Amino acid sequence: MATPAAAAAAPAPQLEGDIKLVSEDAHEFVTPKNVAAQCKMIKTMLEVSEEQEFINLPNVKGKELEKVIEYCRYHVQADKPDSGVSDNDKKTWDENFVKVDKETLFNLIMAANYLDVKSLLDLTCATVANMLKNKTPEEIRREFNIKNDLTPEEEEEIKRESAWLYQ
Amino acid sequence: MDTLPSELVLAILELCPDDYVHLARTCRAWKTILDSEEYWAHQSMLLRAEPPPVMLQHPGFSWKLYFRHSVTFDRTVTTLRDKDLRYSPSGRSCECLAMHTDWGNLVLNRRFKKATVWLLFAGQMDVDKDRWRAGFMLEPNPYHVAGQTRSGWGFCNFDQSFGHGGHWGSRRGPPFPDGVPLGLGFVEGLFFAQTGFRGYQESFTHAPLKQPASFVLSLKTPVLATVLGVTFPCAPELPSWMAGGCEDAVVGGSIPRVVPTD
Repeated sequence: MATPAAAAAAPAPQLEGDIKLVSEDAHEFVTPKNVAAQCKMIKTMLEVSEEQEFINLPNVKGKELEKVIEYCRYHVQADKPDSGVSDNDKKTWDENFVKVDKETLFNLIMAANYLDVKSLLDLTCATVANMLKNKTPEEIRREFNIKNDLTPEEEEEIKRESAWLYQ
Repeated sequence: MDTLPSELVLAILELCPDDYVHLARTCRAWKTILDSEEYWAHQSMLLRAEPPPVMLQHPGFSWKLYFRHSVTFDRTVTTLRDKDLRYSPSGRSCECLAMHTDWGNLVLNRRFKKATVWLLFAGQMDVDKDRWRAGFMLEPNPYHVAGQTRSGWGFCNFDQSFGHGGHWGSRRGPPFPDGVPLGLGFVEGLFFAQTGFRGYQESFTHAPLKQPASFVLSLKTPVLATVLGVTFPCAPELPSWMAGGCEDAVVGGSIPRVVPTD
C-alpha cells in the first residue's frame, strides 16, 4: 500500500480516449476525456475509475452540458502555451460565449458550479454582475423579473441608512 | 435569477460592492444576503491583502507609509487617547491604534459594519512631549465619496487633544464627536507638519490649492479601490509635490524637524 507521501507524488493518470457524458434529459455527448476533465467533478470521477464508459450528470440539461463542453473544448486548445491564441482573443471568445439569454446564463452558472469549472463560474457570475452594475433597484427588478417584496417601511429604512447616497 | 441558490447569488452580489445599496433595495432575499456574515467575511478577506509600504523621499529626510488593515469595527464608540498609542522603546516612533471621524462614518459603520477598512495614517510625533503633535488620515468616507464627489476620501486631522479637525470639502467641519475606532495606522520615521496641515486644510477650504487637490486625486482611485476590494494590491501614486518639496504644502508654518526612525 502506498504511503500518503508516495501517493501524492504519483503522476496523475493519463486521460486518453473518450467518455460519454449523459445529461439529465438523456442527451449523450461523447467527449475527449481531457476535455471532460476540465470539469473537476468529472476529473475526480475519471481518476477514481478510469475504465468507466459513461457518466450520468443528473443536474445538467443537455443544452447547458453542450455549452460547457464547448467552453472546455475551446480552452483546452486555446490555453496551450503554443496555441497562438492571445489573451485578447480568448477574452473576446469568452464574451461571445456568454451572449445567451438569461435563463441559459443562469443554468450555465449552475452547471459550472455543479461540474466545478471555476473559470466558467467566474465568467458567468461576472456577466450577471455586470448586468447589475449602475442600475437602480427598479431597473434591476425589471431586468431580472424580480418581485419587490420589501415593505415601504423596509425600503424607507434602507434609504435612511444610506442617506448619504442621495445627498 | 430566483432559480439560483443563495450561495450563487451571493457570489454574484459580491462582485458589485459599489452597488451595495441598490442591490439591498431590490428585494428581501438580496437584502438578507447582503447583511449576511458570509458577504462581509468575503469583503473583509478581499481587504486584507497588504500593499507594499510607500517610501517618500525628500532631501534631508525620508519616511515610509505603511498600510495596515484595521480591526473589524463593531459600532463601539471610543475616543482616541494616548493609551491608544504604542510607542517604541526609544519613544521615537509609535503605532496609532485608533482613529475617529465624523457622522459620515456612522453610515460607513453601517455599510462596512463587518468589513476591514484600510487606513493611511501619517503623523508627527513630538518627542519632547512624547506624544503626537499632529497628523492626518485618509479615510474611506462615503458621505464625501457619494454625497459630494462620488469618489474620493475624506481627510481628517487631529490636534493635540485628538478630538478636533475638519474634513476636506466640508468647510472645516464641526469638531469631531466621539468617534468610531476605525483601525490601525502605523508610522515610522515620518512626519506631517501640523502647521502645514492646518494651512493645507484652511487653504483648501477657503482657497483651494492646486497641490492638495492633486494629492486627493492621485490617491483616491487606488485607495478607494482598496476599500471596495476591487483591485488590489495597488500602491498609491505619489503626488509630485509630496515627493518633490513639502514646503509647497506648508502655509503659514515651517517644516518641522524630522523624527528619525529607530
